[in-house]
Amino acid sequence: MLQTVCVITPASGTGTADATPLAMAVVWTADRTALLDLLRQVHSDLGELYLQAVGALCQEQLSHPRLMIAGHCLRELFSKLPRTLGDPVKDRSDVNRPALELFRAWTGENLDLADVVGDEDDDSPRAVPAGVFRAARVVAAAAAVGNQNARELTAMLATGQIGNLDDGAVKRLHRAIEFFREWTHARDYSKPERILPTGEIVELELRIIEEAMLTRLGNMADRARAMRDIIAKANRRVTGGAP
Amino acid sequence: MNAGWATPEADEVQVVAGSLTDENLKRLFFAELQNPNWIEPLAALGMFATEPEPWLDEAGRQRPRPWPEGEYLARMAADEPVAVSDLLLDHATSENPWVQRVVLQAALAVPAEQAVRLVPQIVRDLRAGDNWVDAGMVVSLAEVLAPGHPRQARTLLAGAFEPGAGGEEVTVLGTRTRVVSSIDSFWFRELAPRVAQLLASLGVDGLKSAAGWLIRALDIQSDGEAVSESGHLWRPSIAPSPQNSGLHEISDALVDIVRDTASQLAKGGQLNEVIDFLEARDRGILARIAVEATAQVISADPSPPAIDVARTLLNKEELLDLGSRPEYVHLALATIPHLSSEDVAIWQEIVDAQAWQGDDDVIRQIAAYGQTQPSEVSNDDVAAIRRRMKYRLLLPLGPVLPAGLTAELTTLKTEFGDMEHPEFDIYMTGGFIGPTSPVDHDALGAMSSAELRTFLATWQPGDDHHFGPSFEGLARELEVVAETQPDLLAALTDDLLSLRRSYVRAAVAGWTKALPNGFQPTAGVWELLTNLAQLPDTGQDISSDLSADDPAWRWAQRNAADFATGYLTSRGDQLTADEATKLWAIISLLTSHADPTPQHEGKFGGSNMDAMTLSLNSTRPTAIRAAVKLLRTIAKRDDDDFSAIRAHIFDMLSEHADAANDPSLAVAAVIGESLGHIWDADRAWIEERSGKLFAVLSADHETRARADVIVSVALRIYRTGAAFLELIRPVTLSMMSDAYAALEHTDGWRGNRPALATAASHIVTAYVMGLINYQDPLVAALTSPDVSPAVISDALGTLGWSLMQAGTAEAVPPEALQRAQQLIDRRVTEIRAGRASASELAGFYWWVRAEVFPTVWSLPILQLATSDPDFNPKGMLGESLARAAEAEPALTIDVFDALMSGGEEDWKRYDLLQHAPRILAAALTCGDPAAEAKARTVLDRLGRQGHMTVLADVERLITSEQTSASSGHSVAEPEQRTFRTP
Repeated sequence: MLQTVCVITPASGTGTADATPLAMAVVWTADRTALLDLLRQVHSDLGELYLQAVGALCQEQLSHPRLMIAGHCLRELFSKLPRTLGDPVKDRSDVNRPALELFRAWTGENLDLADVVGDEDDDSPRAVPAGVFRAARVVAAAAAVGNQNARELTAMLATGQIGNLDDGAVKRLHRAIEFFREWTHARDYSKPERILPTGEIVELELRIIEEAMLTRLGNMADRARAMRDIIAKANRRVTGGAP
Repeated sequence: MNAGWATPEADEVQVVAGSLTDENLKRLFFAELQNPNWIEPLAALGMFATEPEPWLDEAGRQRPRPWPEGEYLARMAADEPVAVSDLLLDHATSENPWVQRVVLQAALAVPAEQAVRLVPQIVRDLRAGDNWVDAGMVVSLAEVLAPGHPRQARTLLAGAFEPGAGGEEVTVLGTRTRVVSSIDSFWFRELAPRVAQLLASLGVDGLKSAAGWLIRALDIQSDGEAVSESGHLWRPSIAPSPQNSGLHEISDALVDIVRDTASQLAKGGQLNEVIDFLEARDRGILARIAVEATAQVISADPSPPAIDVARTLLNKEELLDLGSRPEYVHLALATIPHLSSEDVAIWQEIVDAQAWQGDDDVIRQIAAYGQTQPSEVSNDDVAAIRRRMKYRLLLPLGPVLPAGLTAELTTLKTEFGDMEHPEFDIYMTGGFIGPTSPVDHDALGAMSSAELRTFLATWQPGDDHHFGPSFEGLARELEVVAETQPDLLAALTDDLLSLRRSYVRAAVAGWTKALPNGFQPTAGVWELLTNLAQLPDTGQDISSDLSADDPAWRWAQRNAADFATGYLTSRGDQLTADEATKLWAIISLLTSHADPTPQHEGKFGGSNMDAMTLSLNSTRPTAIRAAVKLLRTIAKRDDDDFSAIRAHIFDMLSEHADAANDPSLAVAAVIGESLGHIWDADRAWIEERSGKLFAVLSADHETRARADVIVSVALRIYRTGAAFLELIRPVTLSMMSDAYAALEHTDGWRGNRPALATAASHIVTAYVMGLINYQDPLVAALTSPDVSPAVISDALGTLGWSLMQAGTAEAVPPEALQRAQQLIDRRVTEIRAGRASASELAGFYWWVRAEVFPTVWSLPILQLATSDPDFNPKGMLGESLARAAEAEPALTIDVFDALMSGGEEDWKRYDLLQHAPRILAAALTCGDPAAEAKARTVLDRLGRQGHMTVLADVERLITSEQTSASSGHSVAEPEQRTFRTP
């Protein structure tokens, strides 16, 4: 049985600066306990990763480090779960080596690595040597493969197969997974002014992922029952009761 | 947003997305979602942006998947027409028929102003021509659009009904290009009345569309050449008529559509426009439609303007041609009574002038056709033909003709006699015509014997060899007379043989049928039969006209042998020595008949007729069969005469049992059929010949084939018993060997089971009956490694089937049930020990289905049977397992799990899926944790395979059981259904 004690604090307000701790919305529910059991049945490490992720979020206040811990644990979980289940996962696309080649080509042509004053306001096309251009294209291609692989991994996580990557549900799940990936590091060079999300947002993104994992790992009879509950709620009339 | 429904929270919708990654849950969700307010947030997530990807079937073909999201949209279309139409427009280029169907469904549900937005993609889909379309829905949509959006309605109808050129097809008249359309030709015809009404509502533009489609169809029919002919050969009548064959399905339906559209418009006051348009096209068939439409208008409302139009048509000479005659007759009958006397006189002048018949050269060619040169046709002949053509025109118009023409019609009728269907150029009649008789059996039976003799001796068929009365037709009637009045034919025995063979055959067949009714053959009949048996027949195959007289005596002689068999049956133990002598006199002669010759047997036996069937259709085997029946009848009789006949019969059998004397396999089949009876009469006779009779292992093909036929027929004919077992024991042991399996064998009587399987069944049945024990060499041979497990499984399965046929355990002797169980137990022990294959239990499902054994005994064995990967219960177990689950839920779920995890296609497991809810509910509520866990595993697997209804049915069943347990009411079973997305 879980020993974690959660304080349920209603979340409120909008996103705030990183330094300000936020009220948490994540609590241990029956569904989360069930998912923890299911992950442990697959592999104890997977259960531990999930336990630590939820544990980090299941605190009185959300902070950047707690979100980083959750992000790291969940990233590992997303990476390991399909492999543990035996899904045919592709290897990660390595961007580091092409990036190193680009650095060599860049510096080999004696191009300046430092920011040039006033350069950020100049949007005119730049001419670069062909070798640099080709090295840059390899980096972009590796990044594109990496993006495709990440989307395929999401589909694999949810369904056990690559399937339709443009499916609305898979795309939404991918966004939720990317949300936690983006918070695995303290700084994202592409988003220097990031604001810590609200507890509700974290809770929502987590629940989307949890629903997908429960669907993948749980008993279909339970999932069908849960879906019928969702449908009954969705079909409610304004005056209440069944349609 | 729809005010009556709750608006979902943003988070609520997004969390659901996590579950909708599973296709089965997605299908469940969208199948049951009824709230239209979910469209917008789901669309924002991109839920309707994509279509299901196709799947590949076993042949590698792409198969479309249903689109549950779209089906939700179609259901919501009436509530959110704009939003749904917007979303569906994004699927304008979809090639998925499920998506296309959704678009059509939605278009029917939304208001017309939204539906027209979807018309272009519906038409595009229609023109793609995949025949997926629900044509009735297309017409319904066009009906909705027609009042406010006539152009789009016409476009839609054109998409569905405009004909195109299909592939070539072969007809009795050669090859032709098929006329096709986007919808199935059946629905084309069915919907034609609605389409005509719809086109009529669009005015003359609608008629133009229909006429354009018809012209296109005619051009395709004529391989692209524009034709102006009337089309009367393939469409004899524009009005509905049995003469319209309908062979040109789409063209015929288009004629109906154009006719009804034109007629409705004309009746609505646009007669002039309709006739002007149809006549301007210069197509004969449209001109005929104009005439028919005018006739219908006049019949409904003979207004002066309509009469004016009709009069003009009536006086057109080209419409008097036979190709337009049915329509012209309709028009004339409707119009002439409303014409003034002056107008009638003008019409009569045209008819009398006879220019419509063509000039004399044309008439001469008609008169000379196929017989002489036109120049040799006399003027009188020309005049006669002209009179006949006029008669043909006037005859159907009799009721409306003026006095002068009525008088002329009377004169012409006297000259030419009556004429049926004069308005049709060619009138077809149908119906099967078999051999016909000049008189029926009642008339024959009413004749005196002298009259009958004379009639039979003198009657000859006429020239109509195809449909006229024939000897065969008369023979069939004669057979009825011989059956019902045998003495009338018996009075002709002195002469019958000198008449026709067919009559003799008929008489003997009729007498045979009369025997059970007490017919006592006269001395003349006995003499005729004896004489008949002596008549020569080489047995050679002779081709003959089926309606002509029999070309040889063998058919009549075979009937004589059948007469003998029938006589023995009717007399039974009362047969006298004198009668036996008479019968033997007939039979003995026929047992050496040449039919079947080796040539005949080579032609008809073997591949296209087995030996047993051939024996029933040839003379010598029929006679030998009759002889054996005589032997059985007199086997225990002491009289010396009987004794002498028995000796003769055995001599005859000895001769035919030797292949050197009679190599016929048909005769061998009769020996196999008689084997048990001969064994009863004289065991030594068989024992002396067993080496040849049972030579199923002979290396010589012909010797083996003969033995195969004898043995296979005997095994099928006789039931298991001590005597028969003794008879077949040696040959059965020979069959249960690898040497037998290595050789090719000839089956004497083709059935579902080969001879080896039948032999195995005799062994199994003998064991269950207690005739042999488990240590008997027969059982040892059957269960030895030399015999394929398939042979044992077939025998065990057949035994299980027999037990099931008994109905209840009480209907089977307890000892038999016990021994049957013992037999299975012994085989199970061997299988579990690895000394036998589980495939021996392939037919065990019959034992479970029989429900005469305790489930606690049968279910573990069934589970063992399922360990064979090829085990296939063939849809026989579902109901029995559902009943077994009530008493043994844990055992049953184990078996069910094993059966369902085989990876078979759903249709093979349909029976199990039907009964899955009861089995699963029983396991889930039995209190056994292992059974519950197994049931949950099965439920999960079924859910992931798409059987969501099974999951719902299990829940419903458990809930209602709990409810009934608390209320004391009985439990209703869930509706039996199971659907799955491919």
